Amino acid sequence: MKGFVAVLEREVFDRRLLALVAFILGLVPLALPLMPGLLPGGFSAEDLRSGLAIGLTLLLTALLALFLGGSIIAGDLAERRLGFYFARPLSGAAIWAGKIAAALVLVLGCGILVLAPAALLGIDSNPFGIQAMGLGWAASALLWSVGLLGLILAAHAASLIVRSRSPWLLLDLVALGTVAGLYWSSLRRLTLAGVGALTPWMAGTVSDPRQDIAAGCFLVALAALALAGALQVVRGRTDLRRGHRVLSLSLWGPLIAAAVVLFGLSFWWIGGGPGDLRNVDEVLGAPQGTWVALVGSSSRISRYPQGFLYDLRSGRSVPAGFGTGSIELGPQVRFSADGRRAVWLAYDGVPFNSPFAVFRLDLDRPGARPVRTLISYPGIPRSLALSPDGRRLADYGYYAQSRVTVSDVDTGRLLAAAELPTALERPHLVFADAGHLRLYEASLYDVRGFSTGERQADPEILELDLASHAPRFEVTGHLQGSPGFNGLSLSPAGDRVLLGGHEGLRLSDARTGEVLAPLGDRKSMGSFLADGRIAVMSPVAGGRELRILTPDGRAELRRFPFPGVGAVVMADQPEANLLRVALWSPRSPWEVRLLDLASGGSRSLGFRKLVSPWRKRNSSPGSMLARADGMLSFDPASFRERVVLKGP
Amino acid sequence: MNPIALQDLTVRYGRRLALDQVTLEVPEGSVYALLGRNGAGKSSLVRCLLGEQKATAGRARLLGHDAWRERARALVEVGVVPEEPNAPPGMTARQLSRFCSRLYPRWDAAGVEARLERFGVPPDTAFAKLSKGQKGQVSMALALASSPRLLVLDDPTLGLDAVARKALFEELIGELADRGTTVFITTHDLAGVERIADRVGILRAGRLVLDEEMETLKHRFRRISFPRSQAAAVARLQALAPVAVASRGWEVEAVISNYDEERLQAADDPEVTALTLEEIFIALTGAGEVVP
Repeated sequence: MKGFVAVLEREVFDRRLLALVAFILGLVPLALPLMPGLLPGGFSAEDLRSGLAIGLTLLLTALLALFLGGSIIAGDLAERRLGFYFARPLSGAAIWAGKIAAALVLVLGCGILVLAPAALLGIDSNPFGIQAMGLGWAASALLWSVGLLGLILAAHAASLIVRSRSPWLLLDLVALGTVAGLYWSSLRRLTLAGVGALTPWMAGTVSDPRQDIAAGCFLVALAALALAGALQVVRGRTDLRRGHRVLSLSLWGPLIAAAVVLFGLSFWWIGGGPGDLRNVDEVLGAPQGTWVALVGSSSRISRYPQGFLYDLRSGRSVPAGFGTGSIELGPQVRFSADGRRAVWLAYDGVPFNSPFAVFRLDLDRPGARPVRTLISYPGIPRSLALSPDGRRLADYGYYAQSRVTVSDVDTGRLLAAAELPTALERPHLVFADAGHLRLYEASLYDVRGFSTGERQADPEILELDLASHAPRFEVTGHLQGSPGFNGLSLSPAGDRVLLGGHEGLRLSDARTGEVLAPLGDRKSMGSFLADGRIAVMSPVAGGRELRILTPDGRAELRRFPFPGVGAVVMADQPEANLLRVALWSPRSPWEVRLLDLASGGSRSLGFRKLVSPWRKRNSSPGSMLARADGMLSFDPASFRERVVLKGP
Repeated sequence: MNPIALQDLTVRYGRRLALDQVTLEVPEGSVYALLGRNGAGKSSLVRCLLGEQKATAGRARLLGHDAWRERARALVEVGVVPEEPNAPPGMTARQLSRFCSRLYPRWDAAGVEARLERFGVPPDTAFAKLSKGQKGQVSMALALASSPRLLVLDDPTLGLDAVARKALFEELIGELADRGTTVFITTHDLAGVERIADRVGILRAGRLVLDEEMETLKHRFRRISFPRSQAAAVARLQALAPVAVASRGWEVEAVISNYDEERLQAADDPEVTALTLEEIFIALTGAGEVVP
C-alpha cells in the first residue's frame, strides 16, 4: 500500500501542470457567453455556460484518459524508464495500480477543475434540453468515471501493443476481430429474435436485456483489461515485448472465452421451447385439431416474448417469431378453417425496424418447417383473413390505407385488390366462402376491454366477388343494432353470424345483417357447432347453463345446467352429437364433461390441468406445458374461448 | 548465505542464447566485477539478478530471496545504479530522494545531500537537465542512501568522463571502507575496477569463462617474450598452452594463464611481465578459444 501511494503521488505530482491547463479551460465557459454574438438564439447564457462546461469536461477527460492511458506505463516502458521503479522495493502490482490510479485521479481532477467555475455560478443539469441518459448527476458521473477507467485501460493496452512492434500484433488483430465478430453476431442474433422488443405486458417491468448484456460485456472487458494490464507489468516488468505477450494472452484469453460463452448463450437464450416459458400470455387455438399459437415470456432471458406454434397432442413446437408486433395474437396469426395450415406475421429483420413477412406452416405435414412466403407488409394489417382452405390470404391495409388485397399464400401472387371509398377504423375481414370475401365495418371491442370508437350509424357489410374481373366491394347490408360489438363469429356455412355486444348476443344474417334471433343477454357467449347448431353459454342464478339451439336460433334443443360453475367453455365435438366442454370454478381445477346432445346426458371426464392465460388462478407456467392436459384459447375477433384438449 | 547466488542461469531470446548456465556466487563483503564484451550477456544477467527479467532456466537468489518471485522484498537491502540513468526526467535529485525515502526503512537523506554536494550536483535541477555524469552521480547517491547490504552497479561509468569516473570509484571505495557493503559491478572501466575488485568473472558469449579471485588471477597470468631465433624456446612455449600468442618484430609474445616461475626460469631466460586486468581481459576475450 505504501508503494502504491508513493507511485500514485509521484505520478500525479509529475503531471501537476495539467491542473493549470484544466483550470484555464474551466474559465472558457464563463467568458464565452459574455462575448457578443456567440449566444445561439433561444438559449440563455446559463445554457451556453452549462453546455460548454459539460462539453469541455467530457472532451478533455476523454482525451486525457486516452493520452495518459497510452503513455503512463507504455511510454515509460518504451523509453526504458520503468526500470527506475523496478530497481526499488516496489511490487509490480503497486507500480501498475499506482500509475493507473494516478491517471484516473488526474483525469477526474482535471474534469472537476473544468467544471468547477461554471458549477460555482450554477449549472443547468439539462443544458439545451439534453438529459444525460435520464440519470441523475451522481449516477452519470459514476458511469462516466467507469467509462474513463475503461478508456485508460484500453489506451494502455493499445499503446503497449503498438509500441512493442512485435509480430504478436497480428494475433491481437485476429483476436480483436474474433471477439468483435462474436459479440456482434450474438447481439444481432438476439435482436433479430426479438430479445428486448417491448411488448405491452412487459412494458416498464424489465430493462432491455441487450443493455444488460452490453453492460456485462463492458465490465468483462474492463476486468480483462485491468487483469491484462496488471499482469503485463507484474510479469513483463521492464521487457516491452515480453509484456506485450503477457498482455495479449491475458487479455484475449478471457475476452475470447467470454465472447464464446456469449455466442453460445445467445443460441441458448433464444433456443428454448414452450416448456421454457416463464408464463403463457396469449393462446390462440386452431378451429380444429390440437395446434395452438402461443406467446409468452422466456424464462431464459428477460424481456423476450417468444411465440410458438405448438401441437398439444404430439408436443411438437415450431418457433414462430410472433408476439413482438401486436398487443395480441389475433391480428398476427390465422389458422385455416380445417386446421391444416397456419399463417402468421413476423418481423423480417430487426423488430420494429423492418417489415412484416408472412410465414406459413402446413400443420398436417409431419416435420414441416415454417416457410417464408413472398407476402410482406410494412406493418400489421388492420385485418387478416385466411381462406377456409388456407391458400389465400386477404388483408385490409396498414394504418390509413383503405385497400384490400388478396394474395396466394403459396406463390405470393396478388389475386385481387379493391379500394374502399373511405378508410375503416376497425374492419373485420372474413372469407364467406371460397369465392367471396366479406368485410364487416365492425368496431370491435378488443380483448383488453377498450373500445376503438363508437359509431353513430349501423356498420356496413360489404362483399367482394373474387371471381369478378374488376372486383369491387358492394354494400350488402348493415349490422343492425349496437354500434359496438365484442365478438363476431361466422357460421361454418358462412350464412349467419353471431354478434355479441351491449345489446346482447344475436344471430344475424351474415350478408344482410338482418337480426334473425336474439340469443341471450350481453353476458352470453355463443358458438356454432359443426352442423350449424348454436351453443349459447349464459350466466344464470347460481351458475351457468348451456343451451343448444337450432341453426335459425329460434328453438331450443337441449339445455344443460351447471350450478356453481363460473364459466363453461367449448372444447370440441368428438362426434356430431357429442360435445366436450370444460367447466371452470374459482379455487377448483378444470372439469371436462362430455355432453350427449341427442339424449341430453352428461358425464364427467375428470379434472384436467389446463394452461389458461386468462384465468390466472388456474394458469400454469410454461414448464407445465408438457404435463398439461390442454390449453385455454381465446380469439379476440370472435371473443370466443375454446379449450384445446391434448387427447381424448 | 552469500548475497548473490546464481545457479545454471540461462536466458534465451528466441534462438539466441544470451546466458548459458551461468553459476556464480558473491560472498558477503566482497567486490565482484563481472566483465565481458558488449553483448556478452552482462545486462541480461543483471536484469535477472534484479528480478526485472525471468530467466529461461536456472535461478538467481538475491540476499537469500528468489530474485524473480521476491524481488521487492530483496530490493529493500539493495542499492542499484543502472546502466542508463532512468529516473523520471521532471524530478529533481531532492524530490527523488524524498520519493525513495518512503520505500526504504533506512534512508539517509542527509547523506544524499552531502554526496550531491560533494559531486557538485545541483539538488533542485530537473533530472533531465543534468549531464550524464551528474545523472550517474545522483543514481549513485540514491543507491547508497538506503545503507544497502548489496550494491549492484550496471556499468556505472558508461559515458562518464575521467573526473566523474574517478569520483564515482572514490565514493565506492569510501562506502566499502565505511560499511563493507557487498558490491556487484559490471563495467568496461577495467582500470578503475582493478583497484577495488576482490573477485572477477568474465562472460564470453553468454558463458562464464572465468570466475576467480583477483589476486590469483593476476598471479597466474603473465606475458612472456622470446626472441624468434630461439626456436626451441618457442616450441616449449607451446607446451605452456598460451592463451594468446603474437609475433612482434624479432620477438614472440605469449600470454599464459598457468604461470610457474620455476618452470620458466629453467627455460632460456624469457622476459616475463605481469599483466593488468585489462590485458588479461583482452587476452581472454580478444579472439580464439579461451583456456582459463
